[in-house]
Amino acid sequence: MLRRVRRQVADTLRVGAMTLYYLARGQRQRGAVLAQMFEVGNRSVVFTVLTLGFLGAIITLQAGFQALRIIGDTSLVGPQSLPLLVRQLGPTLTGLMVATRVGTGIAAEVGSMVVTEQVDALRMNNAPPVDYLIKPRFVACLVMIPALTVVGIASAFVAGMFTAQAAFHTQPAVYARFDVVKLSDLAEGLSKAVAFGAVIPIIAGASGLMARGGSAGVGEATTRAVVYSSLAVIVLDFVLGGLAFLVFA
Amino acid sequence: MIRVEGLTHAFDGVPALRDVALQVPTGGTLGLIGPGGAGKSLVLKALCGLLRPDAGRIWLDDDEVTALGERALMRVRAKIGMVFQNYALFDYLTVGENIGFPLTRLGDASAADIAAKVALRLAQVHLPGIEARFPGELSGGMKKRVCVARATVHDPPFLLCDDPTAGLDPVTTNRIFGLLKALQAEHGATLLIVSHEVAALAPLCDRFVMLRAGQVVFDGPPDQAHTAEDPEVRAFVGQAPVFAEAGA
Amino acid sequence: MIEFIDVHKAFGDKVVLAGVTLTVEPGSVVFIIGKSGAGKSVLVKHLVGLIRPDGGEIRFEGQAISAFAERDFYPLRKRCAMVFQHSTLFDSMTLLDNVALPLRKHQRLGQAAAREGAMARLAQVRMDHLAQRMPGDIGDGLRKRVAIARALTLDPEYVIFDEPTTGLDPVSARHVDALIRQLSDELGVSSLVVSHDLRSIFGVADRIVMLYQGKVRLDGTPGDFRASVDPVIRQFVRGLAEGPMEL
Repeated sequence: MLRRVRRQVADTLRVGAMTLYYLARGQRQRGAVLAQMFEVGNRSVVFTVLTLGFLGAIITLQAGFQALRIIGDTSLVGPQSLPLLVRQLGPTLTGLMVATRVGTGIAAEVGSMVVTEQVDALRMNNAPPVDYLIKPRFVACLVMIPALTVVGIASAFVAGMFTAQAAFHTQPAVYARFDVVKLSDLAEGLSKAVAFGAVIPIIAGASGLMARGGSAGVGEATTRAVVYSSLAVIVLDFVLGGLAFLVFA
Repeated sequence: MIRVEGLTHAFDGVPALRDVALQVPTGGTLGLIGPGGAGKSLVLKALCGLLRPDAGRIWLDDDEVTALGERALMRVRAKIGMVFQNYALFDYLTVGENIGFPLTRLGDASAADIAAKVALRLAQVHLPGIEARFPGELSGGMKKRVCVARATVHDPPFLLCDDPTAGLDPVTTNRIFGLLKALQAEHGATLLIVSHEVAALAPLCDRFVMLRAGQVVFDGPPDQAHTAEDPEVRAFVGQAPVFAEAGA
Repeated sequence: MIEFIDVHKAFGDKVVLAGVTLTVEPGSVVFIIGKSGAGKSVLVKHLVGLIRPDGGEIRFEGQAISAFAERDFYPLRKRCAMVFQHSTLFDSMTLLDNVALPLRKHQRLGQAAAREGAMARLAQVRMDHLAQRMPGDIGDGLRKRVAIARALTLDPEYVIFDEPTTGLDPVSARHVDALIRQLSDELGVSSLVVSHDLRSIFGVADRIVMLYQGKVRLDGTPGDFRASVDPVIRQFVRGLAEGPMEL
């Protein structure tokens, strides 16, 4: 078990380093990044809007019930939850959703190319798999995961606003107070989204490249991708949250 | 010329290749035979540097593959055409893009030149005009022929084929072998074929090398394999053709 | 007895079977041959309900199965086992447990009883001495034998083999041939074998049916095939690159 974790970490670091190397030195492929961006966005946007939308509704509802019971006033629910959404829940939940959706997709695609020797065929034609397969997915995720995070936060916020109005008759103008979001909240949220965008495709790509032995190997690779990239999202959330506290406090 | 000396490799301590040596002269054809798991595919992978052996040296002409780094290997790999056992066609690219792939990655040919070369190879494998189709739409025999077209599109001096007729009927098998021979004759490529179709393979080859459990157990002209000392070698090649003229 | 009567099947606009009629007598070894993509596997998959015909009738022991619902096929699939081309064994189990699995699942036998039954099947394919080994430890030919043993666990009357020797070296392939013959001669199992391995075909078949362009080109004994003057048959059985067969 420990050996497998060590191998996953080592392979992920190696793939990450190679991706950075090929970003600087590799061949450019026209259209590949755009195609991957479309793939990532298309695959996750509805999923993200739905999950984060419900999340926003749930937070508003639960916080509203508590507020009603304790202080009898729900007007602070919006201003209280928005900063939390921006710096923590939005990026993390979007990251987790994308890790299951895009991470498994990347691992399955790359993994099945490994077991059908397509990756060997790439290497034979001077298309190093990290340069040709991982790099465009990395760039696409680096752009699209922050974009999806913005979409996710917006969905959660809008859903929360409507919920507040329907359940507690809170006026949108009272709920939507953007001045409560500090620059540090934005910076923390954005840095998390970018970090997740960088880490998910690398972990998933490394899992795919590690696939061995037929379709069972592809299945294992996708499982590894989702387990390790979700874990990475949670750990990064903790680490970056702590760092932000030290920097901004 | 292909030269392999003392090739040895183990996976997790389990020996897979033991002191394998073989040689194919320029323009020659070698048939690499042996039971499943004997290490035939590993030899091919080592030849193009996809597998780094634990020990041993490999030369392709003057390049010592086993001593080269990944960057230098790129130059060597451009000289190799490989027909993979599992097709290894890129399933998100069309047939035309698959066949043209080596040209787009290995050289600076113009799009028109590439299209012309792809069309020529498709005609030679008797599949004219299927450039726009995807590998998933093709039958096994068609895919194999597309593989042969892709492996030979850049006129490589070395052509390595890993079980190029697995799962194909005897007529298609002999057509694929004929095709490999014809493409070899066109450019004088050095050919190494791994196959179980021993009877159909024999007339193509100058020499057979048989591997068993990672070791060379026979190395000689195909007709000498019938009188080899090792009974397993004789059993392997000794089955008379179903018809006297079969494989002719 | 299995009867295919004027079976038609098309996928999209690609006609694969255009009226195929043939019968399989109990206890015989019948080979379905033809070039790659001629519809051999498609034909046999009709028998176990994995593919439904567009037209025509398939009878199993006189029973018309074309109208069967999915659940009607369950008992039939026990009597009619299938050995797939890539019949994979579970890597994490011993050979014995791989063979015991259908006994535990279908007949709900306990572990000890299932292993006993599995051992008997392994003995039938002469693999009992390797029962405790893992699939990864043995060669392709031996793995195929274990897959055949697993197909035999529920005592089928018919076994369908889909390209049993494809991907095997010539020596292992002949062992599999011998096993198919032995199943028929010693256990009375009827075999329907999809193959284009000429040596298997002429080595073990009682009868050969060749499919070509969606129809039966010739249905006869190996002797009939050897003596045939049909240029398509001659080309195929001799494996000649040149001839009238279209690619």
